[in-house]
Amino acid sequence: MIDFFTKTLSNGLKVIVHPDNSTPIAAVNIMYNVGSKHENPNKTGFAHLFEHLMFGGSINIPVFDQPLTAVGGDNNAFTTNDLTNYYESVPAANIETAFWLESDRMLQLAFSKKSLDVQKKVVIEEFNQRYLNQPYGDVWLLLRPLAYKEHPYQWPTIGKSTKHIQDATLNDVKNFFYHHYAPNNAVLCVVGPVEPESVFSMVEKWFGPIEHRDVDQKPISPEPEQSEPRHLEVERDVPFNAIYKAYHMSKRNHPDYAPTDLLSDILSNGKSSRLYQHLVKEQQLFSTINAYITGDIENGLFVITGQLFDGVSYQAAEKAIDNELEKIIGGNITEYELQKVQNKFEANFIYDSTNALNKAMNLCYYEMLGDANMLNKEVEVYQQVTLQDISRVAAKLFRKTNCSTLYYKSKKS
Amino acid sequence: MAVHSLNRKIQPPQKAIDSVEIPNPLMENLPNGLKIAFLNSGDQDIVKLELIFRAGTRYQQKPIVAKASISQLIEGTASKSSKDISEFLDFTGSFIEFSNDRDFASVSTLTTNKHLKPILELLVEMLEQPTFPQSELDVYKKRGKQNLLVELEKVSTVARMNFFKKMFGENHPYGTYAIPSDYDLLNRDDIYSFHKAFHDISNAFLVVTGKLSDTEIDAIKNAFAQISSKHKVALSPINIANNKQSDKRIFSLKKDATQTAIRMGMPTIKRNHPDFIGLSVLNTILGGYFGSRLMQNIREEKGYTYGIYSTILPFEEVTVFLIASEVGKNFANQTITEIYNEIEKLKTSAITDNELNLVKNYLLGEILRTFDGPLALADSLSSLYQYNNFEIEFFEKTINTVNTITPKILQDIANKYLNTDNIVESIAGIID
Repeated sequence: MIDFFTKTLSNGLKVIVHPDNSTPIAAVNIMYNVGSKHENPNKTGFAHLFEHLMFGGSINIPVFDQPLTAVGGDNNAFTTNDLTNYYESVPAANIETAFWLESDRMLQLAFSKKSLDVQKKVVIEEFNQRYLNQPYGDVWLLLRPLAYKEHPYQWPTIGKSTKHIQDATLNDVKNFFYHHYAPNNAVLCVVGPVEPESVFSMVEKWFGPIEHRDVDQKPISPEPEQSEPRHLEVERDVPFNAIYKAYHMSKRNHPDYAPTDLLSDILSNGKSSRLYQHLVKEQQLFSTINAYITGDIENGLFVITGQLFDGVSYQAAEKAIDNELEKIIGGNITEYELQKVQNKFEANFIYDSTNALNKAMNLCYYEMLGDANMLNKEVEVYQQVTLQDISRVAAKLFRKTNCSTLYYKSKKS
Repeated sequence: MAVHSLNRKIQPPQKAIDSVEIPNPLMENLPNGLKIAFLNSGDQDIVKLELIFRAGTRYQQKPIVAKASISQLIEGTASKSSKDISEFLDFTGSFIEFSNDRDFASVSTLTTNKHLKPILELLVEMLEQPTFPQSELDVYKKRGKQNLLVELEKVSTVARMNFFKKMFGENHPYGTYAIPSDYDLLNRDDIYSFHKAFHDISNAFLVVTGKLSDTEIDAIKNAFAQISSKHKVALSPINIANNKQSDKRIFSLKKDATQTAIRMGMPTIKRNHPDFIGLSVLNTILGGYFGSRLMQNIREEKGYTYGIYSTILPFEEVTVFLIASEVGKNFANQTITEIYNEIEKLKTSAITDNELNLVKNYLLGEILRTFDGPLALADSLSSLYQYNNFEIEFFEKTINTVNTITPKILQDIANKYLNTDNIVESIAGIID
C-alpha cells in the first residue's frame, strides 16, 4: 500500500506526496499531459523536441542543469505519444531547488534561438542513433502508419522524419508552450523522506503564482475500425528476416486492458511463456519472439515481433504464430497459467516499489488517468481477471481484419 | 498564508548533504570458503542475491565457454528440466539472471521473501548438479550465433570491440572477442569442465540485500553451507603488456552509416590506487555527467551528437579510461579534435572553484544514489568485492577525497595520467 497525500492548487496544479523514509533521496516528478498525439501532422516530433528545449534555460534561470547538479541532484525527462515527464532525484534536504527550477520553466521558457538551433541538431542525431543507424531501427516508422490511418499514434515521438524537426521555428515553440505547458495540465509528485505539509507549502510558494492557462483541447481524431488485413514488406540491409504483427486493442482505462496485458504475458513474459517454449525452443522457428502491449492511454496496439531463424520461411513462421493465437482463442489456457502471470505482475509491482522515482512516476501517471489511488488497486484488478476474460479479449483482438503485418526482410535472403 | 514577493532569480539556500550513511554489511565466512555480505535494506519484502565467481572469459581456453557455462546452469539439474525451472521462476515472480565479463561471472537472483526458501534450494541444485542438456545447448548456440551477427551490424559494437583489440592485442584475454562461427565449436564437455574448474563455492562471494531478518540470514547460510568445495581453484594471472604500436587508430568502414561510432581511451590505474578517486573526479568533469565539458562542448554547443561520455571501466588487473560517442557522420574528425582539446585543457589550466564545487556536490549526490535501496546497494557492494577487495573503507575514502580535492591536485593528476600519446582511437562508420 502506497500512502499518499494530495492537494490541488488554485491554478489547477495537482500535487501528490508519498513520504518514504527508506531512502535519503527524494524524487520530484512532474508529468505534463502533452505528447506526440497532440502534434500537428505536418509538424511531428515537436513534443519531444520541446522536451529538449526545456533544458535550455527559463525566464529567470539561464541554465537548468547547473544549480541542480550543485545541490547533488540529477535529472532527466522523456516524451511518449501521450505525455511528457520530467524528474529530479535530489538529496531530500535540497528539494526546494527542484521546485524553483521546475516552476520557472513552467512559468516561461527562455525561448532562445541558439538553444533551438542546437537542439534540432541533437534531436536529428538522436533520430539517427535510435532509428536509422540500428539494425531494425526504423520498424516503428513503418508499423505505426500501417496500423493507424487517422489517429496521431501513426507517428513515433521522434517524428515522421528529420525534415519536420529541421523546419521547427521559434514561433512554433512559443505556441506549443502556451497551449500545453500549464499548471492545470500537470501533476507533480514528491516521494522521499519528506513532510507533506512542508512540501505543500514549498510547492505553493513556487508554483502557486503561475497563472492558470487555456490548454489546447482540440479533439484527437479517433482511429476508424480496421476492416481488412494490412500487409507491408520492406527489404533492408539486416542479417535476418523479421516479422511484426500489430493488433488494435483497448484504451488504458477500459476493463479489457488488464486481461489484454496478461494475455501478452501468457504469450511471452518469461522463459516459461508459450511463444518462447513452443516457437523458439521446440519448433526452432524464431531466434527471438515477443508479445507486448504498447500501453497507450488511447486505443493502443498489441504487438507480436519475432526474428526468424536463418532458413525459416515467412509462411511457416506466421502459421506457427497464428496457431498459438488460435489455441488461446479456443480457450486452451489453464488456471495455473493465469495464476502464474498474475503472480508475476504482483512481484514486479513489489520490485518497482523499491524505487522512489518509479513510485513518483506511477502516482503521476495514475492521477493523469483519473485517480492516483488506482495504483494501489492495480494488483487486485489484475488478480480479478478470469480465463473467460482472456479468451474473450483474444477472440476480439486476433481477427485477421484487425491486424497489420510487416515483413522486414533481409536483403541477403 | 501570505505569499512574500518571490525572487525567482535566486536559488533557494543550499543545504549541505548530511553525513552519508555508509553501508555496514554483516560478514559471514562459511567453512566451505564462501564469503557472504548481508545488508538489511529497504522496506519492501524482497531479497536480492548476487553470487560472484572469478570465472570470467580470461580463464577460458575456447571462446564463449565462460559465458555458456554460467548461463546454462539454468537449463537443467538432476531433478529439474529447463522447463521446470523456468515455470517455477515465473510462477513465483522470481528472476535468476547471469552475466559475465572478462574477470567475473555472476548469478543474480531477485525474489520475494515468501519464496526465498525454494529459490535457495533451486540455486544450490543448479550449482551442485547441473546437467547441461545437449538439446538446450543446441538452441543456445543457434540463438547466440544469430544474435551476435545482428550485434556486429552496429557501429557501436564494432568500435567497442576494435578498441579493446587494439589496446590489449586481439589474442590478449582482455582484447579477444568471439566470432559467430565460434558458436559452432562450442561443446558440452568444455562447458562442463569449465563449470567444475571455476564455479567452485570456494571461488565465490555472495552479496545479499533486501529485507533480511535472522530467518532469511539463517536460511541463506544453511543453504549455501550444503555446497562443498571440491578443490581449490587455480587462477592464473594475466599480464597487462605494453601493446604500444606506431599507429594508434583503427578504422572500420560502414558505408551506409548515418552516424560514426568513436571509442577512445587508454589503460590506467586500478581502483585501489591512491590516485584513483582523484582520477574519477577528473573523469566526471570531462565526461561523467550531463553538465560535463564534453557533453557541453560536443552536444550542447555544437550539436554533433545525442550523447558523449567518458568513464573509467574497471577490470581486475587494470582500468580503462574510455570516451564514447556516436556522432553525425560528418562530424567525426571535429569531435576527435575537440576531445583532445578538452583533455589538453584539463592539463594546462586549473579547474575553477565554481566548477569543482558543482562536481563535488554532484558526486556526493551520486554516492547517496548508489546506496539508495537494495538493488543499488547490491551493485555497489558487488563492485567493492570485485575491484576493492571488499574494503568498506573505500566508500569513506571516496567521500573524503571528493570533499578535500583541490584544483591543483586535479591538474597534477591530469598531467600524470592523461597522456594522450597512449590513447587508442577506434572509429566505425564513415570518416572524411
